[in-house]
Amino acid sequence: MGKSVIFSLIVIFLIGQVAFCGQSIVSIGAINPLTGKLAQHGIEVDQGIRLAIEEANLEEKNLYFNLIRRDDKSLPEDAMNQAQQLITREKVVALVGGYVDTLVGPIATVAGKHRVPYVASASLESRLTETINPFFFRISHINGIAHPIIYFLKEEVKPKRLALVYASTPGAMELSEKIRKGISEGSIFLVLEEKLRPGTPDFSPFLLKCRAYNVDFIVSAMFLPDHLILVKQMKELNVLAKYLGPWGIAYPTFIKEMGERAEGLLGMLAWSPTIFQRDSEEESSRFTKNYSQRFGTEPTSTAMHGYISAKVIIDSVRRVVKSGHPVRSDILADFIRNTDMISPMGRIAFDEKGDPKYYSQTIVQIQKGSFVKVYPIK
Amino acid sequence: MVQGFGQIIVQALSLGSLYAILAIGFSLIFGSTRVLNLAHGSFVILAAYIAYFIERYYSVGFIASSIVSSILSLIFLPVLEFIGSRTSTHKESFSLILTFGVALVLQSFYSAMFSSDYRILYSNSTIYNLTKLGLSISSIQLTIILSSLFTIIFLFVMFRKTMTGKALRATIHNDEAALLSGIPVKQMRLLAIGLGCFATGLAGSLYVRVSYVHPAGDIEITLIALLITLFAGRGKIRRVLINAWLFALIETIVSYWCGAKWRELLSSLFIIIVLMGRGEEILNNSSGK
Repeated sequence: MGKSVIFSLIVIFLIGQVAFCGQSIVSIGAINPLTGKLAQHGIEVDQGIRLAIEEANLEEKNLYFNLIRRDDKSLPEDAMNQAQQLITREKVVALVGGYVDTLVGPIATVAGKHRVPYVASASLESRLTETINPFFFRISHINGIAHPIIYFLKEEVKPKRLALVYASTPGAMELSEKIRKGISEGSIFLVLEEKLRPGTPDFSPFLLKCRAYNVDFIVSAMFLPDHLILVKQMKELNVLAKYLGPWGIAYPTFIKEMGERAEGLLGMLAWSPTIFQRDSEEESSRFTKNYSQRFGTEPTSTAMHGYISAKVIIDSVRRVVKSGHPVRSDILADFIRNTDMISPMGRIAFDEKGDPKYYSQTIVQIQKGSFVKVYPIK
Repeated sequence: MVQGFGQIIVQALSLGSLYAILAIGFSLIFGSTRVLNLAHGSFVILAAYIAYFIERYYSVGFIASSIVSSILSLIFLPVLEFIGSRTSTHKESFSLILTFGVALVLQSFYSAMFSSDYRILYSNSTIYNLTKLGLSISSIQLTIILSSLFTIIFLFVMFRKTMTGKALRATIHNDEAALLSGIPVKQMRLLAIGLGCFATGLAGSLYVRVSYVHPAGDIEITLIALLITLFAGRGKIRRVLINAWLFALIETIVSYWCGAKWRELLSSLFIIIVLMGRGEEILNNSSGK
């Protein structure tokens, strides 16, 4: 029994060696919340990354991307530990993934300390790039959400009495601050502002105040599960205001749970199978098809964030190899910094802080169970 | 203003009834076995998933789904009986560690079984408008209030009027004295755990109507159940409902007038005050002192 197990292991090892024979192996670490509170979106990011790596390995003959995935359990201390282990033990040349700033921040700190490039998939807060970390890059930014909301409110909706409710997370608080400042010079009257803990079980006090103040538009910087309760209670308490949720509304799972009651709600996304950057239709369709086949579900904007962040690293590694340099972390960071590619989410390039230069989300409305672009129209 | 306050009362009654129904199962089990069940939230989550899938995919109503989820919740009976019978001294501390482990295992199990998607039952709720009073109440809120009232009245009558209920009360108050007076303590414990599991099943089927269900969503439920139970006192079923209403009313009023950020602070203060004031008393009583 023991001998046969050892023999099998040796055979598997040799097969592996033969398979990789002649291929350069590049190890990339991915850290995402695969369990815990943020697992739903963490898994989407992870699946996007996996697909990008699998596609790259099918295309490459001389290069093999070895993806080492870790679960941070939606906890910052775990995210930090996993980053440390991936860098020091697994010797990865780059890190990718991450959902929300509270998890991305610790990974970015560890990556910066060890001079390993980290491309964050879903990070927003400005504070993260205030101190320049030459090894931190991200493909999303708070301005890409705040600016469309401000212009949409000022130019299109022009609400008379606005209510702003936001989660007590760094990204949500910064977004609400930007919206407050952005609308302060216009004719929009912010009558109610409320900060809530994500996972609040009861929104009725806030909604009763909305009713008392005759609020006609609610911007809710909360998350998908909060929207499920908030929108439900809105209907129960007969609050008739229009509702925009930058995060969590524009998801197929949200429509699936809410059914026809989701009609008319406004959300935001950077990409969907039907809403994508011009000139990238082919890549977008291929991603949708491959993702659906591979994971059995329709891809979301969050999955695309994961996919693009991995593509940035893959593209940079290829350019390093092509240039004749060794694939080392410091060299790879330089090549990531010079990224300039067209993706289904738009043009991807980074500024000196590692923030995306062109990131912007679209405001969509749920109409007949689908997302319809409402701003910007062009 | 008066209308606004009336609606606050309605919301608080509904929220408090939900808190009570979440706490009843915990309270019954803690009362009879002294097991501080940190997996209580996980049990409620399972019942909620059962109700969710039955209603979503078999198009049955609330009564059928709550009966099924309550019956299926009895699968936790052997687990709780095992934990309750394994530990004789320092039962509360041992049960905390054991049930915390059970909660972790169940959380992973739910992630694997049901995925990490957030789920909520969005049944068609009728809104009743009391126009003269300027109040509105949904059929779901009414169901929650009536369910908790019915459960509490049923348990109260059972404890006061039936021999079994009286034996159960005696076991809760002092199991050694109950044993000496010929009460089958083991059977009484099993009955209390069974009733607790049944109530947990009902709680799950109501919970998924007002809140989302998620594999990691158990902690809040356990905290609410623990807080309300400690606040009410060991084996004080009637007080569970009254205290849950009171707690929800204070929470809702504070959120409305002072802002939601004060709600969190209030809850934390409440936990500290209850633990300081009653924690030792409850644990001493439960140890038979």
